[in-house]
Amino acid sequence: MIDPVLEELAARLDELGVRGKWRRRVLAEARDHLEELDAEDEADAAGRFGDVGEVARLVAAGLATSRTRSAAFFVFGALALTGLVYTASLALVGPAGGWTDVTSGHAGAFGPLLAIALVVLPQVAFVSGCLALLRSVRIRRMPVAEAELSLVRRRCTVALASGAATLLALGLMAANEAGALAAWWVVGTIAACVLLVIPLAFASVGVVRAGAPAALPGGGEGDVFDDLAPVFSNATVRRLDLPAHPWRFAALTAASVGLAGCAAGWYAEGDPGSGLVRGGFEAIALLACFALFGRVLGLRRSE
Amino acid sequence: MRATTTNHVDLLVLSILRSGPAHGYAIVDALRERSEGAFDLAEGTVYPALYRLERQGLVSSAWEEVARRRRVYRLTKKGTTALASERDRWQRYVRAMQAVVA
Repeated sequence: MIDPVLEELAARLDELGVRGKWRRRVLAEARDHLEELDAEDEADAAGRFGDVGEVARLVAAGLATSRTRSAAFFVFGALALTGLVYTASLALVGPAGGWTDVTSGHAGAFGPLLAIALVVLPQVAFVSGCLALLRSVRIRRMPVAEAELSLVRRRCTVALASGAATLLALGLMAANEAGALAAWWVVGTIAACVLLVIPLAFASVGVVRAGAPAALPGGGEGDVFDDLAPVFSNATVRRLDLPAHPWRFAALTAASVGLAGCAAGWYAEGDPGSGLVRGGFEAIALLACFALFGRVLGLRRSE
Repeated sequence: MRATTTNHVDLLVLSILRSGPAHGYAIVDALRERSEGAFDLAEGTVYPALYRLERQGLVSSAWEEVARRRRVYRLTKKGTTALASERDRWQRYVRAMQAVVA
């Protein structure tokens, strides 16, 4: 009586992607439970235990939710380390000899592309990582439906890919600056980039593992307006009707970022023209990223 | 509807564990006994609820060997606090319902 039930439970767990220690634990506890029922001469032990498919489905859904949530925290942690190294490296360029022309070294025509990548990619990683973290904090209590978990994993994936690409760009820049900048900066930056691949790789494994157990089917993934509901529920902001007009939201954000970039550029270079170029670039980059990643990151709804 | 049901199962399981550590079978048994048979749930579904509570840090568990090897669950400090607050909320809800319905 017990073995056929356990075999069916094992098959359902396999189908739903519950493997390893959780599979073993569920089966061990189910065996213990069924043996207790058997010892009490319970004629319908299998019936009392209930639908094994439902048990397996609930276990998988819980596992999918908790793994996705943990993966988002881990991704954010790995990206925080990347951000720290990135900031420290750029801050130390001055003491290491100072900025050179972007077309210098071996980079040549690729220099400007490398410079753009070094400005845009960390911002994409930061925004995606924050969005993944924000949603994972919101979903902490319940088993969550697949659509929402899938959004968190997509945000994690974009964040990790951008983080890895940032490291690659930083490493290439360091290699390109060999000779122009101090050796300690070049070696230190390249070594840090190589070492940081380890936490990013672990975080990637976490995201892949989070996608293995089947979550509850269906559900709505929501968007950034759900994530930042307290901000968008403000009476003044609500009047702008941003959830219905996501491009209006993108334009307002681009204008704010552009103005901030303009002020920062003006302050750093002491020249309003440089500020305008920097601010304009930031605003255009933000709009381009919104167009490219808007649906993937849940910045605008796909339906 | 799912959220409400899940919360109710969680509250019931935490309430049973307030009396002391127990394994899955004993929890279901106590639930049926205390509710005089009203809560006769599909017994296997108590395990996903226990795993969920464990992930939230509200219960802890370990294999123990008493006559046979069993996974025994116990309320954590966080679980005790959560139970107290859930119980207050539940009592307020029941009072409000009674005031309207009775």
